[in-house]
Order: sequence, then structure tokens, then C-alpha cells
Amino acid sequence: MEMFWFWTVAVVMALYAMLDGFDFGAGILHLFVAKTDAERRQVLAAIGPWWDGNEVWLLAGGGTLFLAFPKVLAAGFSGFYLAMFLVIWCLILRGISIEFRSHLGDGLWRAFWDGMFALASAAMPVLLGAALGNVVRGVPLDGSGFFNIPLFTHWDVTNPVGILDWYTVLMGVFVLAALSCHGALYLAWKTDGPVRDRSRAAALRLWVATVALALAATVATARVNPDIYARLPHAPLAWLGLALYAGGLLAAIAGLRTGRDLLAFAGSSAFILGILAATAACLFPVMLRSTLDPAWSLTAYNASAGPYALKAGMRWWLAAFPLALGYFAWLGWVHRGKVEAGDYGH
Amino acid sequence: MGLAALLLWRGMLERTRPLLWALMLAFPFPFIANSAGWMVAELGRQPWLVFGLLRTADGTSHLVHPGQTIFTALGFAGLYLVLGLLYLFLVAREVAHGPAAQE
Repeated sequence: MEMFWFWTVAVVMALYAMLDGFDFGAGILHLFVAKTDAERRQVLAAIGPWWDGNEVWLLAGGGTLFLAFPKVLAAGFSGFYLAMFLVIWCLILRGISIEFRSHLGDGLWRAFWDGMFALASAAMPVLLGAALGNVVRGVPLDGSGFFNIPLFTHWDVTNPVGILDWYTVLMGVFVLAALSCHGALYLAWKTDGPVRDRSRAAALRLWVATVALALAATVATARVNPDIYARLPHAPLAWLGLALYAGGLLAAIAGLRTGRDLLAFAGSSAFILGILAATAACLFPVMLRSTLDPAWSLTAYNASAGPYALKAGMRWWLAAFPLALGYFAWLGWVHRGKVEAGDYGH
Repeated sequence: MGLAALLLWRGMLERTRPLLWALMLAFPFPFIANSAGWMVAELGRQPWLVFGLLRTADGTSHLVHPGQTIFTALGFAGLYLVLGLLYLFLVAREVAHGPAAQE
């Protein structure tokens, strides 16, 4: 039962990264791939039906933690207090930028909100990457099950650790590159005309950066948390994740080279889901690793809610999850095809 | 509202000026009702966080410094103040434009 919930959290978070990832990427890139107001609106129309629904997966992840692993939620939200607020403020500014820009035709007004949209979109992947880095590296959990972590200390992964060190910053930059590439592939798939051409050119360069940073992150992770690789031989799901990771990267470049945009975007989606699934499989059952003493780590077994809550929650989840997936499938069907230049409706 | 619905159904609403004035002046009421409802739920529950189970004083994070909560509260207040002013500006602009002649 604890395993079911561990994987529910992992799957929801991975889906969140994959789904909101493409609209973060589109937000970062729209300043570069869309030059005119009409092209900017084309980009916004491409992500318009999706971005707010995508964000709900983050809420679902938080809600699942609250239901199944309240101790992880309590420790994480207290420990990362200020970082959590940065995430919330970035999400607010992103949404507001999309909604406000179209209300005035004034050039300065639009340029301001476009810049704000790009800035908030770029900050989010860095924050998410740093968060992933903190989960992999571990946090100074003590015997009380809580931790307090400064923004940065001596920029190294040894105690006393900070939210930012060379490893978590590397992860932030890696996620920034990976989601920018993901967004570029999404725009290449969903738009036409100059926006598609520029997105494809950007995706090619970002793909190279993503592969280089993915290798660097993989090597760095071995130094920061050797337990992950020690578990690899015993975690069959991690091998599936790694296959998706490598296969996804290859499919992305193959699709990009041959102009099969959907294949490229699907490849990049598989890469994101795969790398997160492999990480989760190798971390299991640890959810928040303690840098002070492994015995103080919060795991799926010592941090879960009681058996009744897990059982009752599972019934609701099994009913709700297909509904949510069905809604996304329907949304994709309604908005199939490309958003053409000059077609702003959604 | 009932009277307005009845008149709308009979096609007479647009000629009943006193009722139109009342409807226009009633626009803040949903916002007030919404906020007041939240305040009743959140303040009326005190001193309980979960009624009868957990007191607010026992539900706080020990490791979050009071200065941090002041910082985030001020951050939220500032953000919402700016967004609120922009919202009012956009609504006022929309009202000043008047209704579109024909959609």
C-alpha cells in the first residue's frame, strides 16, 4: 500500500514536470522564437488550453502527499518555506502575465508582460531542478522529523547543506535546458510558419545542451548520493526508466532531424518521465533523505498516514485518475492540429 | 434577482430603470459575500485549526522563523495590492469603453 502511494506521488510529479514543462519551455522561448505580436499570440494560443490544467498536477502532487505522507509534506513545506513561496509567486506572475497582456494593445504593456512571463517561466524549472537536487542529495532532517535549511552555505554537498550548492544549481540548469528543449519541441509540433522554424533551430541546440547536462547530472549524482546507484541492480523499474531516458533522447533527435515533430516531442516527454521514474525507483522507499543520519530519513513506510486513510484514499484515486487522464485526452483531441499564424482562438 | 429574472423573461428588464440601477449598484455584493464567507469559516473556527482536534497554536511550524512569515505575508500583500490596482484599472477601462455596438 505504501508502495502504491509512493508511486502515485512519483507519477503525478513526473506528469507535472512533463506537462507544465512544455509550457514553461514555451514561456522561456517565446521571446526568441516569436518576434511579432501575432507570433506571440500564436505561442500563447498553442499552450492556452493546457497551461492552467497542467499546473493542477502540482496541486494533485501536494494533495497526495498531504493524504498519504503527511510527515513528508510537513517537513518539506516547513523546511523549504521561502523556496515554496518563490514557486507560488512565480506561478501567480506567470498566470497573470498571460491573462493581462491581451487587455491592452499598448506595445510597452505587452512587452512588459511578455518579459514577466519569460522570467517567471525560466525561474520555475530552476526552482524545480534545485528541488529535485535537494531530494536526491538529502536535507538535514534530525530525529524530530523536521529540518531547517538555509538558502546556501558553502556551496558544497557536505553538511551543513544549503538549498543551493554546486549540485542543486547544476540540477537547476539541467532542468532549465531540458524543459526549454521540451517547450521548443512542443512549439515545433503545434505551430507552423516562422515560429516552427525558429523552434526547431532552438530545439537542436538545446538538445545538445540537454544531453551534455544530463550526462553531467548523472555523473554528479553518483558522487552526491551513491545509494542511488547501489540500488540500481535491485530496481527493475529503474531500468525501464533508463530505457525511456535514453530512447526518448534518441527519438527526440531522430524526430527533429527528419521533421517528425510529434515523434520528437514524444521522445522528449519519455525522456523526462524516464529520468524521474528511474530516480524515484532508485530512491524508494526514501522520500526525504537525511544528510545527518540515514536512520532519520523519511521513507514511504515511516512517514505514511494510517492504513484507513491509505485505503479510503486509494478508492478515490483509482476513480479520479482515469477521469483526469480522460479530460486531458479529450482536451488534446479538441485542440489537435497546429495553431496557425493569425489563429488566436482557443 | 427574482424580479429581474421575471422581467427579463417578459422582455421588460431593459426598460425598468430603477431595477437596472439597483442591479448595477449590487455588483460588489458577490465579492463581499465571498470574502465574508471565507472570514466566517476561518475566523469563526478559531482557536481551532481542525475543529475539536487541533488548536491553531499547536499547528504552527516550529522551524519557520516569524520573520519569514512576515516577509511572505508582506510579499503577498504587495503582490495582491499591485494586481488589485491593475485589475481595477482594467475594469474601469472596460466600463469606460461601454458595451460593444454589435457582437
